[in-house]
Amino acid sequence: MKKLLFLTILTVAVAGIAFAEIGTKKKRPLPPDYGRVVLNNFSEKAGMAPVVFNHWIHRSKFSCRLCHVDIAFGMSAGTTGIRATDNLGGFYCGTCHNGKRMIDGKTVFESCSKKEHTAGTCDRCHSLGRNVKSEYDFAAFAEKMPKERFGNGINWEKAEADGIIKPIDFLEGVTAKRPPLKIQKDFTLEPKLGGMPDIIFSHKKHTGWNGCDLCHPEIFVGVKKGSTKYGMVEIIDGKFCGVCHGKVAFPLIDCQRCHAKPMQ
Amino acid sequence: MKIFIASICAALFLVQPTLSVPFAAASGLAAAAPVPDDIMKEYDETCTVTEDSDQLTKEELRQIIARCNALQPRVEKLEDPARKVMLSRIKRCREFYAYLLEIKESK
Repeated sequence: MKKLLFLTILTVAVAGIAFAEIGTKKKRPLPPDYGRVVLNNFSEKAGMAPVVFNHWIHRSKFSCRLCHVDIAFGMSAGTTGIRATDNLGGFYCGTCHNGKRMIDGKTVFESCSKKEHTAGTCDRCHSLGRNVKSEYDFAAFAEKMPKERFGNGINWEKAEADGIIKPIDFLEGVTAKRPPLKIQKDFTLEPKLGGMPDIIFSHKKHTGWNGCDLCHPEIFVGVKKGSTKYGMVEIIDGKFCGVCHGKVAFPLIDCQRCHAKPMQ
Repeated sequence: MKIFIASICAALFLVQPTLSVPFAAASGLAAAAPVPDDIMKEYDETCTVTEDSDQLTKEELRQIIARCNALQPRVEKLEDPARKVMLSRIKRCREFYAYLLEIKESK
């Protein structure tokens, strides 16, 4: 009896520990999965599989600012609360996924279509846990991109600089026409940890993707350089640089991408 | 023995993967109402100087912030998602200009 009780407790304990999400160690996502966002505010409640959104295909075509400022997608999964009716009304995903908008010479498929559903119509987006063949193959896409060690394995910055990708920052009917961006100067930041090279922050590289109002003041609120104190702990926790870096932009383990100033 | 079987069931419950359920037909959905043209026009006129923003005087920045503040109650009367989207855009716009004003005032 005691043996049986011991076995019972052991079984439950081992199962619980094995699948408990404790600690900070996370599994590094594979290149195609880096930047993947699962959206499930309402999908399962409506009897559908959660939506899988892949950043890599979208960031190859659009700036971050267009989606996160003009279209008003949240900066964290689940914070936007997208509904099918929103998409049908031309908001959020439906801004482009309306069966009419042309991107790169192709008509973007309609999301949450009101037409009769055929097999696989909804699965194209509501694909978590389903064996759905994607129209866009990551390996074929990444093959022609400049390589990087981490994240998607793609050097997005170089891809843009070399003209391989030309992210769209304006959508007719969505984006207000505005004059060209005036770029702020680059600057260096001294790290908290002695011995690490200074950080070179490039406004030019960031404003090309984000504009000004995506970062200021929501992410970076200080009005004077150095007035906001933060370190790697806060960044790894998903604040400041960590809002993007480690989720969609290159991950934080690629130290020399930021700590780039040559040591004297 | 019964307790052991029950514990196995409990353990299986803990490791149960998300079930894939058949999708529900999205029939009968009505499209959301668009943003009225007058509100979009006001937003476009107010929030398009972002890129020349460091050239703006403090008074100009205060006027832009006031326009955002005046636009916000009109947007709050809209239905979702137009309300959510426009509130997000106005909030970003207003806070950015307020941020610039704070920079100028701190100099």
